[in-house]
Amino acid sequence: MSAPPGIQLGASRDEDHEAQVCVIGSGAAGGVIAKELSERGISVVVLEEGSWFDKDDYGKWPPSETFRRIYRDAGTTMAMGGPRSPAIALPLGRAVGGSTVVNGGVSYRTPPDVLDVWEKAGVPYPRDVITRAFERVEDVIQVRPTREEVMGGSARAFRRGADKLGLSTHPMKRNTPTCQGCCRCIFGCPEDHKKAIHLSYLPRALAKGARVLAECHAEELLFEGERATGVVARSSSGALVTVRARSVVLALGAIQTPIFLGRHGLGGRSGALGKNLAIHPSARVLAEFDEPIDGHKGAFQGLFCDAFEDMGLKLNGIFLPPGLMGAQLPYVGARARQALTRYRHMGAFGVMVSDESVGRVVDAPWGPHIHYSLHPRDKELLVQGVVQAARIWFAAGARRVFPAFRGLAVVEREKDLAKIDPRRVAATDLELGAFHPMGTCRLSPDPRAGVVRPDFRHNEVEALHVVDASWFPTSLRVNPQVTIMAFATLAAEEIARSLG
Amino acid sequence: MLSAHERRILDAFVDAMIPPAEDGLGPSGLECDVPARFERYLESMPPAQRKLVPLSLWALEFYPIALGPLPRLFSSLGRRERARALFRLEHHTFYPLRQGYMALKLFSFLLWAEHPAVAPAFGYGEHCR
Repeated sequence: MSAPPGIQLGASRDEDHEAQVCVIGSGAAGGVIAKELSERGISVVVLEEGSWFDKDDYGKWPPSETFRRIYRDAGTTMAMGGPRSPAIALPLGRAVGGSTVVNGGVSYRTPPDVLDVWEKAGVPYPRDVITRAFERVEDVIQVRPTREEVMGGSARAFRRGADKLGLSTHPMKRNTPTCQGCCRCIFGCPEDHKKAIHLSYLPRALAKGARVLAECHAEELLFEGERATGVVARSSSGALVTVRARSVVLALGAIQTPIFLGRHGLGGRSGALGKNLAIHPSARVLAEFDEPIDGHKGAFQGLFCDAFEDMGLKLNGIFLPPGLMGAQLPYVGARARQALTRYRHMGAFGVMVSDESVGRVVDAPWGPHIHYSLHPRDKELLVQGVVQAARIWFAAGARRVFPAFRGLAVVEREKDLAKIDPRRVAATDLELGAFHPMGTCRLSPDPRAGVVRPDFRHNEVEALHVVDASWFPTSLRVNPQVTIMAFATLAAEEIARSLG
Repeated sequence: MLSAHERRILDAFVDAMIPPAEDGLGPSGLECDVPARFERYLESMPPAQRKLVPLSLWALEFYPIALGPLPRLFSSLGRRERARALFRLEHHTFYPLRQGYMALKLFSFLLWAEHPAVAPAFGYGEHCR
């Protein structure tokens, strides 16, 4: 592993740096800020807790090694609710490039109706300005619809079923223009086909003089009066790295940013710090076919079905590596092994809800505690989504479907789906994951209602900006990376303006 | 990371969950050293999550005494009875118990399926190399 020039790994002795802007976090938000400001001639230092990895690293690692090295908490981050709510896996990236290194590359603009709501919540930008920001982002990360040749057997089978039922599907737009269909997006693209931040925005920032200090955990904000003036970080080797700057930008993500602010006593006045958490809870529906469909030979996320969007449901294509597939199948011992011999016959699809559930992030003695109780409406929607996905699998010719409910692990006949009453399924009967934390430092023009002002400045401190998904006023309904990047583009303009 | 007894429970779990079989998928979980690799993985987890693993193992150990299939410690059961006990957990109504079981199952399959003696049987990612 050798990082490109401009990226320094784990300072070995105490260092002092100066820049006009210090950005904490190098993911979807921080990477964009670094590039947009550097191209305006503004000096930028990016602090990143994770390390630098490239295709030569994760291309050779087995999945567990990737989870251990590139995911926060070795991939075991969980959102926990009360006794009647399920624990929800919430894997987050931790590397130069952030979660964009390990996401599926799905790239959608903020839905217009969500922008309507956000406009009322105080987001001040005219629609044409936002559209230009989307276009700029899509150009840099090279967003394209998934090509048919890498759609993958699972997505093709699902589409066949949806077509039979008259339900609309579309190739997923992703930032993987030359994807070869390795199905390894969540472990880092082994061929650099995914234009994640470390391969799209950061190289442009580095070319303009930005510096990235990786393996540096930001610990302390520096102040002069009410003004942020820098950051002290600790490197992986224990050295103290001090960055003095005219402006500090927080891009740690919606779980870490409120924790960081809370540890400095910032943001509490609004009552919104750490609250308003949305995560897009998601379920999986597996299916088994008589014939091999080779779901693993294709994009990790190639297709989506928007037929139920008016309900707040989106069906997103996914496919699982063998180990995760084995864990999902409702079998034990020799029967589980037997089921996995049918790996090439398996299909998988996800069900994602734009949540009304509202969680919060709390700084507990053991670290960030993510509290999230599944709202009954979201639970029922997830069950309905699972039933709809199962119907589509049967229409596609599946022999059996695995809905991932406790007590209903295998469905052999479509008519048995009619027996599922969403109201009678307990939330804890569901096996759920989530991938899109947002909203924990809500934007609002009213300092009593939000942590962040409409120009992304923190309400209580001068020269401190929050640009990651924590400022989102509501849940988003689509994968968030393009929204984060587009609004970070606009935030960069605000920051540049504030520097004069 | 785990006590000797906890390691015995984990061995018993992996042996029942991924036993030897002539199915073309390769060696068993124990032959692939899954428990030892699981222990190494634990070192990467944050303390809060790490502590849940021994808790899950102890819950598993005493579970058959309370709920069958035989009133004995899980690790002292034969493989067949252990597999029966695990299958019950797959659908158990007591959520924390089931959740702990699911976590053990997840890591066992993840570490087994990626082992060099097993992974080629699935062909995952092979077509890109």
